[in-house]
Amino acid sequence: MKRKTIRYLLPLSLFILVCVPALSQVSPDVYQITAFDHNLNRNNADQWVRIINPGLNGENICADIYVFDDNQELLECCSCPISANGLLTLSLRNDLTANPITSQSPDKGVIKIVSSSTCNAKSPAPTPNLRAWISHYELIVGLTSAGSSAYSDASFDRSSLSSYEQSFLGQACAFAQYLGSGKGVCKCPAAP
Amino acid sequence: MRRVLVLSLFVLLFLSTIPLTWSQNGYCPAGTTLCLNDVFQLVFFDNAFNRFRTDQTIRIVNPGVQGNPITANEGKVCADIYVFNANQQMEECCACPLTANDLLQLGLRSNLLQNPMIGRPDEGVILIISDTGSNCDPTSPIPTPNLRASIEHLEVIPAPKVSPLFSPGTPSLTDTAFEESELSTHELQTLGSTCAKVIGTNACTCS
Repeated sequence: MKRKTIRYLLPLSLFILVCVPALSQVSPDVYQITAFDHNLNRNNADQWVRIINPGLNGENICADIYVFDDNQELLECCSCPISANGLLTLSLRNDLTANPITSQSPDKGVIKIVSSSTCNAKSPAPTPNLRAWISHYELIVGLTSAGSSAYSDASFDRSSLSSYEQSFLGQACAFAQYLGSGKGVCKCPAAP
Repeated sequence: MRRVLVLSLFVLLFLSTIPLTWSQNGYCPAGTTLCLNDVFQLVFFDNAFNRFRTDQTIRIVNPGVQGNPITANEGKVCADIYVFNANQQMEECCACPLTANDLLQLGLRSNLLQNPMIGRPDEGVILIISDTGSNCDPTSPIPTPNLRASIEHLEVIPAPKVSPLFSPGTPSLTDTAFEESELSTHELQTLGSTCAKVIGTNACTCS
């Protein structure tokens, strides 16, 4: 009985030991996403992305930022350093979508942020744990002839980051910046 | 021999559970001896000194995990509040007590930025540590779960281009919850020691 138990338990333990860490290799608390819309609104109302470094390891952390249009095309990417307890404020219009590789600023799309230690969006090195928000500009249609508008703040949604996605983001960024010859790079505003 | 095998199996099983436990509890950076959850939250603020003179309200609630209104300490938890400008400099700090199920409302301008250390920051960061009611000391917090907080954000909608007259735009208020983060020992100590230098002359207020 004991021998049988051992015979089954040994492979099971080895399987758990080897496979569980492999399955859990998605990096925790390093990746977050949000949508944007009405970027090209008629009121010229800008929208802001705000990122904070909570100071978990007391060092600079970089926000590797990837901006996609709603056709899943990477338009811009960049890496912005943020020191502990620092706030980085980015303009959607001027910093994140003004220099797309397609030369066509998107009205809507997706922003992805990888919290990284190396400040190189072409090869992100995930490390926890930036926090980010976006101010959404919303149009309320139908209440008046011109429509009215309002802002609505939302935090980015955190997601696990697979090694596949991590690799894809880096490669897509390198590709966009290589082909773009200056385009495809978003802008980190100077510290206040 | 069998004993060794059985023992090895137990060791293997134990080791195999470590990655799971680790990922469930989140990530603790190397070198930290403590990694605390549900005690630390943060948010940004902006347009604090807006032209509309609109104050933005921070709301903190004590969910009552540490006791209830009829227990001895009434479930008291303190919100240790740290206000930074956008340059990572602490402007003010203070501790505000909340008993169980209590709601504390603070004005960004009237309570948290009325006495800044360096200047009047228009934008910055607010950090809150949930501190034990018996301690209530932002210079040496003893983290305990689990306050919840939200903030009003004021954004300015620009006037339409076609408007013939100058218009400052329209204010728009939106509520946002604070975001939780793990708290490292390094950050805990840094916040406490920095606050100790600030609180004597630049304390925020709770009412």
